[in-house]
Amino acid sequence: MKRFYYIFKHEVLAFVRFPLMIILLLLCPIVVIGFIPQTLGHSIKFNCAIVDMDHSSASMEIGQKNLSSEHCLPPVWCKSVEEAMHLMEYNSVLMIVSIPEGYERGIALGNPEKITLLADGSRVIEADIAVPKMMSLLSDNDASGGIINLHRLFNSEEHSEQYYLVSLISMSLLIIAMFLIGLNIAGEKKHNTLSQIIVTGVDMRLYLGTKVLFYSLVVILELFLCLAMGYIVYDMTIASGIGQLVMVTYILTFPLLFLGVFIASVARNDIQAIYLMIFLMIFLVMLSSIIAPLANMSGISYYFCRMNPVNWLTESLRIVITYGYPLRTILLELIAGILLSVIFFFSSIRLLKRIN
Amino acid sequence: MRGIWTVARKELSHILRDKVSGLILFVLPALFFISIGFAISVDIERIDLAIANTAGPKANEVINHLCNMNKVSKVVMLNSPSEVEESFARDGIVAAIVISEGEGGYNAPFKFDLFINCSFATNILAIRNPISSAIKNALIGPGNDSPFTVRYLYNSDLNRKMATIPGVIMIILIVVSTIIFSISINKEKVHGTSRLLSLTPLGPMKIVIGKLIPYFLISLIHISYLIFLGQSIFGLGINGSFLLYFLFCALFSLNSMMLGLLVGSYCKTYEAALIICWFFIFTPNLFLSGFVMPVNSMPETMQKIARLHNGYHFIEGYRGIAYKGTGLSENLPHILFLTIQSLIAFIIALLGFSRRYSKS
Repeated sequence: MKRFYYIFKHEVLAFVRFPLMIILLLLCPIVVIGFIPQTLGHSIKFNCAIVDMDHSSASMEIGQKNLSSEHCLPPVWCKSVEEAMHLMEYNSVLMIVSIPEGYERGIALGNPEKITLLADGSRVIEADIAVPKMMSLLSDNDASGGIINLHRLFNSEEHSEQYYLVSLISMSLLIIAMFLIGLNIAGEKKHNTLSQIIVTGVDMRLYLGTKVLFYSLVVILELFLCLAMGYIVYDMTIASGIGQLVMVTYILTFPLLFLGVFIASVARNDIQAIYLMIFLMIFLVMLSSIIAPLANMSGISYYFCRMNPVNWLTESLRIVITYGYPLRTILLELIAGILLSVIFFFSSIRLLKRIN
Repeated sequence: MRGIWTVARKELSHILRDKVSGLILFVLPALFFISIGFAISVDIERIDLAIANTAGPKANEVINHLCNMNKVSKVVMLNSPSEVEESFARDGIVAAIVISEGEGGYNAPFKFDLFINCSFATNILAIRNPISSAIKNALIGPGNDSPFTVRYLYNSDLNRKMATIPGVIMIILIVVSTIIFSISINKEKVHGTSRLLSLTPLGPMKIVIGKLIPYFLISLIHISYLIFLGQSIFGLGINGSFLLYFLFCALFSLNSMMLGLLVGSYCKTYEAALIICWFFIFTPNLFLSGFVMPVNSMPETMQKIARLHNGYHFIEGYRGIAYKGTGLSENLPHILFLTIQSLIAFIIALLGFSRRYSKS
């Protein structure tokens, strides 16, 4: 117990020795949680150009519909499609609505000419959202055709703020968990302090375990900072309660902490450890539900994502914060997290003992 | 010039001396590009659906249409509508449909309640539209009565990889040019070799340029093979001037290096450099560049802030040159922004580096 206390004290002193790190850890939630989600996922307002070749009251009506729509910025009237395409090249318009000659006459005869919608395909996400919205706007018809009663669950305003808030919390915890402990161990390896500690008779398991415990508390502290920021700026609430959230986070950050330890143990020097951590972290972030949900992952990557500890953490945070599902829905992830932690812990100890 | 070349050779030998680090630096970005390029999609790939039918066997036709919908990977049949909420938690479904008896007789035989997990707002239309079409097809049969002809310019097949690839290239270039370069600048301080360098007759400017050259060459290698991989694997060729495209990517890489230099010059430890690069450069660029969310879906003031990120200008310029085939004049604002930002970052970084250099 006394050894544990001294190792823990050593870690605290090493941590507070660099006040810049503490300032950075306090600043990160302000920048990442307080600022970034504000920008994400509000309803898109797109610019469109109208090429009116009919010059009729029916075509003017289309312009009016665009003007009064909440999704469109005031349209630009162009004389030709070429002129509108020139605007598209400068990103001034996302879509061109081309009204053919004889459009109004066709309506009167009951056989209207088709309106052509030209969308900027290089902006796939915007085009994907804007085309159906423009079609329903011009045809006065909602996409469900009025036969479907839509219930929006977990996000009635269709903003992506809540989704990315959880993603950013998970990403912040990942970085704090993996980088700090990984760099700490890589540094100790580089300065040979690990070999010196081994000869003092301190058990490697106790030494690494205490380090991990200390950094897990830093992670929990960062979680509270993120939650405070989320609450202050976005009125974020936790559907399942704070106790469950802390427990789930605590369990699922252990595999990430031990992954940091494992990388530092495998790497031969500090630079190698940093390179490995950076690339692995980017893989883990991109192959999880941080950027897009698992339903958007194609082919085999879906199964990779399901085995990713960052995904376990992100999905579990989402379940506890957003959905409020019972804990049994993430039981598998929790068990897998504990197992992975144990595997990384003992592998790291073996590696470090062999090296030293 | 000779001094610069000597520092560049020293830096290159440092990179290549450690074979594993060299391998990580050269091979991992390619693996990253291929795997992430394939993995991330802006469109939903799997629709896991639950259906609760209270209208009896006459709704079987509609259910068949729903089950045979494109991208449906799992259908869970529920016994009653009360199970819908539980099914979201238990089965991980993204949508549930409750089919009940309609009140409009022959004209509206059924009533549909569609429940969608809207937490990821971008997917809502992608889930709702095919379900609406399937229901309409089942009730009134397929028809092509759309009053519109829709065409996608510059991307006629609406290849969705076009949305992700510029972002993935941006990430790779930021990682190599900003994060790894800032670590390399920081390394001299951490290892104490900056003292040795200060004893040489080389000035801070020469040391910085010398250290920059190998990483710039590495990023040029990355740009070259990313063009090749993008074309051969994802079928995304360069529609505009190849030279302009290459120079634009090189400019972005140089710009990212300047930001890395800025961080590396002022930070004392790896931890601080990595955390600043990750939280203040990488994460904002990831979310505000237009890779994850379109910039014009942001509030107006936030759009202005997003436009101050180098990633935004890279993605816009990339789309312009590579997809639309636009030239120098159309992309001039992006080129100017990246150039001016690089110059400002270089001057501030050099001041910091000189101060540290003179101190040591």
